Parts: sequence; C-alpha cells; structure tokens
Amino acid sequence: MGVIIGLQLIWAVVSYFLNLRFVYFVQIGITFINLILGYSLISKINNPQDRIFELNNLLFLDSLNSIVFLIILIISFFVSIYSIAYVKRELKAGIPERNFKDYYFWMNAFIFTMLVVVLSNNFGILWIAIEGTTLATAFLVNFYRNKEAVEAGWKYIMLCSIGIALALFGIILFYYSSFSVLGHGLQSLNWTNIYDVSSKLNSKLLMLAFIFVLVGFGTKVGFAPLHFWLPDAHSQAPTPISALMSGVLLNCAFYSILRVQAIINNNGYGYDTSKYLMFFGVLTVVISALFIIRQVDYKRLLAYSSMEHMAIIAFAFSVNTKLSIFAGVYHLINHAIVKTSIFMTVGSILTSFHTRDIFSIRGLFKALPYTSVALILSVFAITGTPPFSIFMSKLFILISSFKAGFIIPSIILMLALVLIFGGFIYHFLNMLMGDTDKRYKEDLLILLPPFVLLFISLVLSFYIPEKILILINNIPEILGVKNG
Amino acid sequence: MVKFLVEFFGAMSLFLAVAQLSSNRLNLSIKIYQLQSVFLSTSILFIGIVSSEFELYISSFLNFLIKVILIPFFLFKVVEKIKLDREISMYLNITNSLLFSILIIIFAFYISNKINITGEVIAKQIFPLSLGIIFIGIFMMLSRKKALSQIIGFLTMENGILLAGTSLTKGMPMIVEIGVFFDVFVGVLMAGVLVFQIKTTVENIDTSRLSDLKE
Repeated sequence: MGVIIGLQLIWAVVSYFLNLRFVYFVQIGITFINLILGYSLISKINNPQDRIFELNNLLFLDSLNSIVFLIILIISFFVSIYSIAYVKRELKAGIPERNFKDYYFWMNAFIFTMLVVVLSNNFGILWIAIEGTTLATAFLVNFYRNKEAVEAGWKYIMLCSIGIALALFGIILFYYSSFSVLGHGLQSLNWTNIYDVSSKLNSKLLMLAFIFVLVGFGTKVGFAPLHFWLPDAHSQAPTPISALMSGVLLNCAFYSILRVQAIINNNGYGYDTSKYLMFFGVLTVVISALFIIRQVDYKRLLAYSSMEHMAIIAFAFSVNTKLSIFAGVYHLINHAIVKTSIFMTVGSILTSFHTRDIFSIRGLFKALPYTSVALILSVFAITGTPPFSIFMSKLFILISSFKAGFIIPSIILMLALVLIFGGFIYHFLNMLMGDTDKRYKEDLLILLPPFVLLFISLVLSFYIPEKILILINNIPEILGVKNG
Repeated sequence: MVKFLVEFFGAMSLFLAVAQLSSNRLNLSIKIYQLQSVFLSTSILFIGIVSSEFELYISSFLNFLIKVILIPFFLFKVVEKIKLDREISMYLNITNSLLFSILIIIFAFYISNKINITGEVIAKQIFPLSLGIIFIGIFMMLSRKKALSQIIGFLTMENGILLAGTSLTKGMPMIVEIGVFFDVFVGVLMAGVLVFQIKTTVENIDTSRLSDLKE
C-alpha cells in the first residue's frame, strides 16, 4: 500500500516537470502499475477478519476498503486514457499547454489524497486526506477561470471546508471517547483499535460524534440540504475530473461515514445511525429528482444524478440487512463504472459543441453518431434499465427494503426513480433527435473508455468475479449488520 | 487555578468571536482573529504546563506561528492588494447578528448540558464555549457577503474546534495536529488566490454577486 501511495505522490510531483507528450503515456503506465499492485494486495484478503497492516498500523486493508480502493484504481486508469484525447481537444480549442501541466499535477494529487483516504487506518489522517481532496480539486473546479468556474470554486472550497471542519469536531469527540480506554496517542484514533474496544465506549458521545461526522462528510457526499456546491463543482470541472469526482470521490466520503457507523453498530447502542442515513437518503433522492426534471444543463443533470445514486446507496446501507448491504456495495461499484462512462461521452459532446445547454443541442445522431450510441446506452444504464447492472442493484435494494418492512420510504424512492427516468429520457432524447447539418470528428481514444466501461457494467449484471463476491459478502459482518 | 485560567481564555475567545460579529472593517476583523489566536495559544500553553505534555508546547508554538503571524500577515497583504471598499457588507445587520449570537450561545450551553462529560477533563466549561465559537463561525460564513470575511468566519470556527480539541483531550496526536495546521494554512492560501480570481472576474469580492450558477 505504501508503495502505491508513494508512487502516486512521486508521480504527481514529477509529472509537473515533464513534457506533456511524455506525461500522457507515463500517466497510463503508472495507474496501470498501481492497478496491478493493488489487485495483488486485495487478492490476499479472504475473510472478514483479514487485515493487512503497513507503516506502523497507519495503513490497512480489509474487505470494506479494498472495494473502494479497487474502484479508485480502475476509474483513475480509465480516466488517464480518456484524458489524452480530452486534453488534445482542449489544446486545439486554444487553452495553453501550461494549464494542462497544472491539470495533471492536481489530478495526480487528487488521486493520491483519495488513496490515502481509503487506506488510512487513522481517523486523523483520514480527515487530513479528505480536506486534501477538497484542496486538490479546488483549482481543477475553477480550471476554466471564467466567472461561473470561479463561483463554483469558491462555493466548493467554502461549503466543503465548513462541512469538513464539523467532521473534525466529530473526530475530536471520537478521540475523547476512545482515549479513556486506549490511552493517549495516535493508536487511540486507529480504526482497528477503536473497533476492537467499541463495546466499552460511551454510547451517547459516540452518537453525537456520528452526527457531526455524518453532517460533515455528508456535505462531501452531497446529502440533500448540504449539496449546493455539488452541481456547480461537478459541472464546471473539466470532464475527466467530473468523472473522478462523481464516480470515486463521493464514494470515498461515504466510505468514511461507513467506518464510523461500523463502530457504533458494534458498540451495542442499537441502530439509530440507520435512521439518520435513511432520512438523508430519501430526502436527497426526492430533491435530486425534482432538480433533474427541470434541468437545462446536461452536466448539472449528471451531477444531480450522482447525488441520487449516492442517496440510494445510503438508503441501502440504512436498511442494514445482509441483502441490502450486498446490494449497496454492488450499486456503489456499478454507479462508479456507469457514471464515469456517461461523463466521458458527455465530455466528447462538450468538446465538440462547446455548450452545456440541453436545448441548444439537437441532432446528435447525425453530428456524432458513435458518441450518440455510447450516450444512449449510458443513459439507459444509469437510469437502471436492464440488462445493465444498475438495474440489478436497484432491484436488490428495493427488494431488501420491502423485506425489512420499510414500505413507505421504498415507495417514495420508487416514485422518485420513475421521475428521474422520465427526466433523463426526455432531456437526452431531445439532444439526440432532430436534424442538424453539423458533423464533428470522433476520436477512438475518447470513445473506447466509455464503451469498455459499459461492457463491464453489462457483464457485472450477470457475473460478479469470485474475488469481488467474497469481499462484498464479508462487508456485512464488518459493518455489524442487524441479523439475517 | 489553571482550570480558571483555561476557562478564562476560552471565555475570552468566545467573547472575541462575538466581537467579530460586530466589526465592520476587514482590518479590524483580522486583528480580532489575531488576538483570539493569541488567547488560544496561551490556553494551550497552560494546559501543557499542567499536564506536562511536551506535544502541547509544540502545538502552542505552531498555533502561534501559523495563526498569529503567518495567516494574518497573508490576509493583511490580500486586503492591501485588493484595495476595494474595506467595509464589510452583510445579509443581517450588526444589531441583529449580535442578538442572534445570544441565541447561539444559549443553544450551545443547552446541548452540552445534555451530554455528560465524564473522565479526566481539565476544564468542563470549555465544551459549550467552543461549541459557541464554532456556531458563531458558521453563522459568520453564512451572513457575510465579502469573500474575505467568509474566510475569517471559517478560521474562527477552526479556532473553536481546536479549543475543544486541546481542552477535552489534551490535544490530538502530534501528526494529526500538524496535518490539520497544514490543511488550514494551505486552505487559506488557496482561498486567498480564489479571492484574487473573484476580484479579476467580478471586479469585486462581494460573493452575493456570484449568482450565475443556480437553478
């Protein structure tokens, strides 16, 4: 783990000084090496109790974070391939080459901080790394330096800083409750140590800490009343970064909440945490559905869709049965893959048309035929149409929540999903249909990653690799599932 | 005695956070923040003397270096360079914000009464005081229009968190504390750069003019 993180950090610094033409390809190489190294680490984990420690117990890997770890590595590999074509197109459009050196530096720093978030065993270091993701992406959000981008950057850094500061307070409360048992020092912030003594901790204090952490990291996940930065930031950032933020960063923030929840579930205080997660989940799905219907900017629409999917995942974890947690993790993987693919196709449209307005784009089938095929397939995949895997995971989530007796929230969720489906189909068919005399060139490199990702999503709905299945099935026990 | 001093410095920090709400000039706000940070460093130093933890001396020193010298120096530079109106404009006027801050403080004491703080704590009353500072910081960020006063609101809030951290737990572990200082420092630097960008694109640092992105 230390090797992967170190490699990423060194590469982030080195990439700043290299020629851009060289950076393109080394970037793919580095992310690929990391992917191989990461997979070989993950393959050592078989049981829920398996933990690999490194660096004086500061880094660790178990079934829960190896899933998120794998997602980061896969998505950053695909984004590295996609970035080449994207950057070349933007260079042609007249953005100076120097800006893209910054782009690669911040992107690698961003991936580095996310890796630290998931691999860190220590809540303090996890907090530092999450604040680090905000700082690393702030200058990517206002990459285009126009008025909207600066506004999005400002909102992003301010709102996320408030949120994350609240989470720091939650972590201090955590430390306060754990150091009476574990003693003073770095080890009483280690997740594995707190987890092992969780039944001895003060439950009320833990609950207060959880609320602060939920609100704090929930800002970063984009839960409903705290989401105002999200559509702005995701729509203004360069498209490969939007894909990374939507598909991976939100998962990292949500993963941090899950770690805290796991401790409280094992504390024996009950499952009150689930109520809060369910509240935020249902509220966020409803609000994002309302905004998706009346959206005029397709990248903002996708940002709201990310909120919706994170909320569905939160809902799945709040139901807290074995099936629902399986479905939640499954959905987390599917969403990361499909959202990256749809952002990539949309990026191809954006670099051709140079507008984000839905109603000023018509006749995509004629202007960009292959991209349109990818787009329509991605739209069906993201809204949960069979045979794509998001359909399967949504189905599992709804079945599990009906089984567990959450009838009314499940019905609200289903209605919101129908609205979202309608909104997606309406907006994107509007762009695809119609007549136009424009015709743009399409690159292989910009189309290949989305098609491969869509294919993976298709495969995942019928067949989950044995290794991943073992990991997913281990997660309920780590999280302290209710029963059955 | 030390308990009294620590609580006294905590109370002074809360008082300065309220005073922050009543200031209508950016320069004054930065000075108030500087003074608040001095109190905070002294309070950490006292806790360090009592518990004879060496880490707290370092923490106090770093706090002094970053929050009393470096960040205010940088913010004064930004104010000087922007040169625009130094008046702070806000959504809620000073009288109403002060009245609202009373409610905030009562609320902070109310919720901390609900939680039993047990175990070895140097100063129990620090907990509601720091909660008050945190909420006032959030309130400042929401009620001010100028980008710079929002940064100061964030810094005030961060001071409140640090106060809670050191007096409840004798400070977080050293590595974490250094990381937090680093993040706050870099965050303020980046926010400062963003203020310049707002200034060049909008020709003002009034964030209420940043309103293109909405539904």
